[in-house]
Amino acid sequence: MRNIAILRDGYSDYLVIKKFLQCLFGKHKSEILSDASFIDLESLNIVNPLTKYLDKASKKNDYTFHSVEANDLIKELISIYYGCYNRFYTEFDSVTNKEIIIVNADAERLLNDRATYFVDWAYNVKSLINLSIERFYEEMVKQGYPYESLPFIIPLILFPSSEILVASCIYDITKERLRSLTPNPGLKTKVYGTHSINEAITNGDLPRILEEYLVEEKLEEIYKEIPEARMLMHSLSS
Amino acid sequence: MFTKIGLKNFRTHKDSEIELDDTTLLIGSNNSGKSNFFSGLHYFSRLVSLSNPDRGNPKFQNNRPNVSTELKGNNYFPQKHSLSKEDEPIGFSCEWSLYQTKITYTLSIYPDLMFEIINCREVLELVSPNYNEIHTNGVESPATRLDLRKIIKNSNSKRKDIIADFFQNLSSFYYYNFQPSFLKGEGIPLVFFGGKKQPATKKNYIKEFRETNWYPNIPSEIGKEGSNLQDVLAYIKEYEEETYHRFFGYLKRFVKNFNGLIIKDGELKWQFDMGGSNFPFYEPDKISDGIVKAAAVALLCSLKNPPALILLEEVENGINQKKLSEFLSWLTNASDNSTKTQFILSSHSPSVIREFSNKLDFVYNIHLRERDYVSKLTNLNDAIKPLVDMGTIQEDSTIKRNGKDVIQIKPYHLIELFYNGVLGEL
Repeated sequence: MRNIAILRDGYSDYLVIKKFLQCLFGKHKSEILSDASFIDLESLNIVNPLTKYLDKASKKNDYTFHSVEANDLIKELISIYYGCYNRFYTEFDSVTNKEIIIVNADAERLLNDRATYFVDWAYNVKSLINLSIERFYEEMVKQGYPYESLPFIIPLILFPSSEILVASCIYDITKERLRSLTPNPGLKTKVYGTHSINEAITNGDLPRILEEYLVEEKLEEIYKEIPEARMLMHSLSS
Repeated sequence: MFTKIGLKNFRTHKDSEIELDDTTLLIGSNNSGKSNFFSGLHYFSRLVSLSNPDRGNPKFQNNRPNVSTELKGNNYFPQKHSLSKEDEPIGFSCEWSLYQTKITYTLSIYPDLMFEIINCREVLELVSPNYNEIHTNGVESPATRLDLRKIIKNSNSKRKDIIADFFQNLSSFYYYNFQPSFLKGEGIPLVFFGGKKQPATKKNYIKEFRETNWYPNIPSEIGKEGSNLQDVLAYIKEYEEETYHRFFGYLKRFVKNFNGLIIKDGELKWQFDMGGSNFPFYEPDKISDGIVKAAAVALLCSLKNPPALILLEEVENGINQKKLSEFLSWLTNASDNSTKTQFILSSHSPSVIREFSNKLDFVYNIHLRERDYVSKLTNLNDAIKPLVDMGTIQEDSTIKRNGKDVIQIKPYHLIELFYNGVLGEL
């Protein structure tokens, strides 16, 4: 059995990503992943350091990898991955490279269309996250950890928020320019019919919508419209 | 003082042990096992206290009538980890030292399912330069009572006095989870009476002392939630002058205009200097939550004969962040006294955690492992070291303490780790 930990911002993000992964595993009939056990890393999140970085970097208009802000972000992210590693260790007394950590955060920033995902700041955020993962592995190797004892860390930074995954299953997000909606209340209301996630979870609308729309048949739409989800889809499809 | 303390198979604690300093901090999320740890320590301390061979002896004040010390089913079954085997022992262990003498004590309680009795096993080992002793109860043949204390008392041990001191200390653990409404005398605790829980009767220690010359054991009488605080304060105001003066000194540092306690028409009032010619006084229910909480802790720190170990839950509740350092310094002060008191605190507050940034070796994180509901304790100094080695946290320095390298870091690093959730996972 594989254990998949999801590092997320809010509980709804956890539900969305878990359902997304279940679709992926279901569609590809993955024997290794079909009995995956999900862990909600509720106490950890990368939103604070990411927001701090984006605020500072945008003020200086410096999204380069070697800025002080980028360096601070990487350090904080390494600590957070180490926290995830420890959580696995506490829970299972050992960690293997079968374990998976999905690093999700809502960028909370708008992309006007799909192509803007590749503009400097958006692309650099994703690249910085990737760099931080590589740096984490590097530091763990220096500490003497063999690769078999390190989890597979996959980033999933969504613009502007996790609702975009669900939206892409319900609407033609390019045509309706849903990428340009603010995450709250715009996109949340469009997807769940309310801007209050608590309400959508409590009254059952959110799970119902995920069950109805976030289905295997819609994975192609997600792949087409959400470039930031593609690496994860490839990594976990085989 | 106690240097190590541990529990086995007690509720969520399958095997938990911590090293103790004057003040030790437990952190961890809700439902991780902090209260279970405190309950366990308090539970075993109470059991040892009940086994005091001098209990019931009229020449010792405060010794209530002798009660049966035969272990029963409720000494074992409600306390054991729910998922453990039916006969797996629950246990307590500790290390205690005085000057160059070290005592190690272990106690385990287990059922004999065939005979439907509860047995115990006690082992005490005393080690001092050039002299060792070992005493046991229930090891060679089953024992249904914690008789080790009595066995040693009646033995030809050369160190009876120091062992008696140890047992006295071990019997003196007090567990508090102070609640403002109780501290103000508004809450009525429930106590077991006649086999069921009933509201406790209100205490009047002044009257009792006048009529019977019985003086209260203050740490016990305050009550876990602090329900008798006001009555205990009235008693110390009347009869324990030294304690009252120390209490007043502490609280005055906390609330500058606190002018003392007065008893008017038989009721305790709190007086404040508000700049006028008269000092107004107020009933306890008019006093702020933070002040009554501080008062309870100030009283514990002021006692002439304080408990050996005070277990204090959520120490920061109701205390303003600016006052927290002052508040925690009382504990340090109390533990520096010749009558040494040790504290184990639990907290959810980054403001408390930051106060321990230079003594991470005495901070423990408790996690509840979801797969088997077992609490796991990690020492923060050990847990944080990899992050320092990775360079994600910058250490100020490393000092040696008790033979260990202790990392000193800036308080703000702890705060950052707290808010990113990393601290909770270490």
